Amino acid sequence: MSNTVLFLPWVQLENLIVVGDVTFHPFAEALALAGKRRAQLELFGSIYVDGYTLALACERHGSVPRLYPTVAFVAEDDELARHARDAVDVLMLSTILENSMLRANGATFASAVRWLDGESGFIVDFTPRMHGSTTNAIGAETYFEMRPPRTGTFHHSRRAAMVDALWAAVNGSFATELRQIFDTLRTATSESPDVSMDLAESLMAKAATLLTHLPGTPDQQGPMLTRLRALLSRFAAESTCDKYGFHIARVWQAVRDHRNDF
Amino acid sequence: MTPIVLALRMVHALVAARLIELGYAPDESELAADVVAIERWISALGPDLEADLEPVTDATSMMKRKERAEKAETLFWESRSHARLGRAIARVIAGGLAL
Repeated sequence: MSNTVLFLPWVQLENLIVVGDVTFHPFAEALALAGKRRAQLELFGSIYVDGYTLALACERHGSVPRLYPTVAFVAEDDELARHARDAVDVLMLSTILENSMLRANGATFASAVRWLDGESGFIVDFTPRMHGSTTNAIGAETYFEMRPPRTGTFHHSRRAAMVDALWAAVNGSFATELRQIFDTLRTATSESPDVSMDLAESLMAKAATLLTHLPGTPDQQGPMLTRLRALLSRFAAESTCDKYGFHIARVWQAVRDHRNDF
Repeated sequence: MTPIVLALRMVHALVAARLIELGYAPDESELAADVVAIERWISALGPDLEADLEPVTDATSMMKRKERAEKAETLFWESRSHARLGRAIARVIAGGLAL
């Protein structure tokens, strides 16, 4: 089994999830598959759980749930590590769309690629970048992963149709734009104190622009609205008699105005 | 409903429409039903929609908007369930006619 493992610390799975050729395992199941690296994987699991337990105990939260991370095994290769991150983003977006931001958030889908064979006492973090990758060592005893405000069983709910379409798109001609959309929506739904509601709405407007953009179409209201109407018209007849043509387009304009005021 | 809930559903509709346009999902897929359901849902919000698209700063209005958000979320899921059921029935009928 590979030395490189992708952890999703806040995704609680009861059964495995397959996105394309990437499989996400519940921790206990991953242990059974880890072979000779079982002890190292077990150690990583305990680092996540104990770090969380210790930090929350310090905050006097009383009884503390012990959460083991979800695990995906990844081959040792920059491209494949990025490929696994794409699978996480597909999982994130399809879950948020199925459940809404009130119940699912991008922060829950934070992920980390680790090397199990790193030096004892250290967590080795591997981050794929646009060009190449970076590797960092973190002291295991002082490691702590901040818990997002809301976590729960919503991870179990997503639709195969959306997962399959997103996975095909991120491995096809739409990959570059879709990765930008993933990045934008991950930030917009992160629940970070640094991301105000105004910024989140502005990021949503950016995602909408990326989704409606066609090369050669300027980012101006008139041409973009024409493009938006063309995109929506295959699904519904003109449903309003105002200048927007569709109710979705009316929201698009309001969010766009909000972004311009921001 | 907060504008962010509306904004998310707008993005949802655009993601679905773009995936179908590019051929990553079939025309008659569940994703198409999502676009139709979102369009109907926003239409059903009526006057609430215009109220929620305006900025709100006072606490009372924000509380009212939060209550509307919860009501609208329920309405959205109902609308989507109807759209999905409608598509499923249409597929069954089409299958029957083909036989």
